[in-house]
Amino acid sequence: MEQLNHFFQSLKSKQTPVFVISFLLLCLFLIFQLYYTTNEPSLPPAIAKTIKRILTVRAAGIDYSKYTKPPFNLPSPNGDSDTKYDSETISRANTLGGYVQKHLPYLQGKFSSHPEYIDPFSAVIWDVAIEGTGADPYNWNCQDIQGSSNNVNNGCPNGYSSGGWQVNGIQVSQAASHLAADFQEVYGKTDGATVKSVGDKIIGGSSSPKITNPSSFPSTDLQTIISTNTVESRQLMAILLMDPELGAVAISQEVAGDISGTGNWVSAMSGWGSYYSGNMQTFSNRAKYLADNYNGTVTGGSGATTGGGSYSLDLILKPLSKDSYVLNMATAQAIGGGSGGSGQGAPPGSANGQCTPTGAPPTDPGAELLSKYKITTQGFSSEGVINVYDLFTCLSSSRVPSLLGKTDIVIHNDVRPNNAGIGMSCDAGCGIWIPEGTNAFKFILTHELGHVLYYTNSPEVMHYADAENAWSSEGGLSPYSGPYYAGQGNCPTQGAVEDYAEMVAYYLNPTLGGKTGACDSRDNPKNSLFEDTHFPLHLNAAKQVL
Amino acid sequence: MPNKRLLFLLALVLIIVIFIILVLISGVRGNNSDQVPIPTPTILPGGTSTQQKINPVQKTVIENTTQREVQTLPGLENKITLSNGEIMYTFKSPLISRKNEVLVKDNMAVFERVLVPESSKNPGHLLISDYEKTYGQPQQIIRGSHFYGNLMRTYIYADKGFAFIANPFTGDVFEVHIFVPTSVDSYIQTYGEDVNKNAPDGES
Repeated sequence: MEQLNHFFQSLKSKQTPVFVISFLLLCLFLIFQLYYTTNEPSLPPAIAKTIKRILTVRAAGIDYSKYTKPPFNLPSPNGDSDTKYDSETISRANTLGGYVQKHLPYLQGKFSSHPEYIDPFSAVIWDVAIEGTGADPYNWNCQDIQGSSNNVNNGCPNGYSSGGWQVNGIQVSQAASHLAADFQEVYGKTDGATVKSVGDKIIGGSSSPKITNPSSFPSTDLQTIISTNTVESRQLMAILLMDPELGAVAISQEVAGDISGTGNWVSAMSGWGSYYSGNMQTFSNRAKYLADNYNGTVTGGSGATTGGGSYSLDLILKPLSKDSYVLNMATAQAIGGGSGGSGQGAPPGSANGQCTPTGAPPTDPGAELLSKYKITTQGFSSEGVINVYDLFTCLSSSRVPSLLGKTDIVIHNDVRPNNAGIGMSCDAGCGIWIPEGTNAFKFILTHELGHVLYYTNSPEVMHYADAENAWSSEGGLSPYSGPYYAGQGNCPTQGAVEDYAEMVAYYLNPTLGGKTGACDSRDNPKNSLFEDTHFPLHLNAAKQVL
Repeated sequence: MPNKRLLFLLALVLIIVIFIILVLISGVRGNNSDQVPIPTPTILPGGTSTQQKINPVQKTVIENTTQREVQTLPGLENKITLSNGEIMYTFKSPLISRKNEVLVKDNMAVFERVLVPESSKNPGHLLISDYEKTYGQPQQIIRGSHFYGNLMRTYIYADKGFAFIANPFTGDVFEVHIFVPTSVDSYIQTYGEDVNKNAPDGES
């Protein structure tokens, strides 16, 4: 004891309070550990087990505010949920999240750069609040047969790659690339016997309808099933995805994959169509309700659970057709300049509505475009060529001409190949596809021109970092170019690359307010750069470039 | 009871030993400056190892720079412990929404993402041709970047332990990834979160 006193005394004399505190904390910790380990065995096993169980039961409710922030970005809840989920749905939601939690190391390992994209409750939000599957693992739909089917026994002979075939909120085709690894993670092997055992359990647990296609699961190893890639083998994959644990692992990855596109979940979803972009507030209100009742506790073991069950949701399932945004982006409007903005600070002679080139057009405007800007028009009427020529004439006193000429540009009077809508691409040269007569032709053409400039000039010349940081700080210049838009609720679809093109379009059309993309529901949008005070960093970046 | 007392005394001895070690460690740290020098190993002929600088602004040498060294690198902004025990350090970069990163595993840096300065005058600014001159052609080039755009490309030298994302039309490199040499598929699976193989062939 005397030695101990001396030890503490010496510590005191050295005046090292941090070490003393650390030392005491360490002592407390070790003594607690010592007490625990020496006393626990003395508890009767039944009591010890009960205590353990009590400790592992989690109280319902989680902090939902996390999901209103990056990378999820759902709007803050505003009002009650329009759907009150029943206890069965809540239980399945908890099981779904619980299984994601169980496999967190595996899942986060797959997203090691952004482990935060893997989140148990986000899988619940997706399945229950957004897709409306009720987290029912047997929820199945194929929108490609008979005008849509919800009967698994019909199979989905044509829908594999269309995005219209889902099991409990996940596309079968999307899950194919990681299904074997997921199965290995959940069941430890992928051999025929194990796969059959899991598949038969799912079939046996089905009820409404009872799965009869197939009536029993074949004893085939999973790699073979996946690589066979026939209608029958795909049906087997769909059935395996009905396994609650396997399905949870797959769903979580898909949500994370969707987030990883832009680092913004809402941004990604809003590009998939109006069901998503138009219902974010509703989704968030539902998700809040779920969050208040969520505890992430798995009910039942792995394998199929109770079957179809009943739940009262009135959501309409929509396929995840992520390609649809390409077509959506073909829509755009230029609306006449809000409240008569002055275009203050606009580039001289810019392509605003007031720019009317003086004098008669040249005899061959196409040749002028080619010689001055290395631009060729293809398929336009003579009037269309003059329109394009007028646009570039208006831009002649900006920096645009000096930014052109790095590559040949062909402007096509057409949409992109494969009916991919208005847009641009570059290879040996660059192409812009925009049909003559498109609403807001000049605005959209300058938007696509913005993409071309971005790809054909160095980041230094294009002040890419300034523009990107403006996007990060101020949000998108329009709802189209998120991550959020200051003027209204979330309706973002794209990212900094689209925002760059929007910046070019707004700057070169200073008296026009532009609407890009179907998700933009503004009635009379202002010019974000010149008639809106939210975007000083954007305006500064645009001035540097253009 | 006597056993308990003995255990208590043993624990106390253990505590004291740990405490002394802590004091010694802190003493050593106190003698160092805040800045731990970054190793500058010799570039190997043929450039086939990550024990070298792939880019002048590279912060670490993979499997050489320790966690302690990573922690003292300038610009450290955040530290995230992953569920698998690996630690992700994020550092200030030229872009607000895309940070420099160093992943530490078993006390060693195993992955680094470093954004290349935009200015061509900065010594860290390199072009695709600079890499091709030194290291030859990449094993694979993949079009489609989630962050930089559908037409940007990832140039993968997985067997040499690095990859970079660049603009094929201007030659500018946006960011460089340095990692333990591996296969192309493994790189894509492990660190290729930005690779967007399904990107449309253009922008809308």
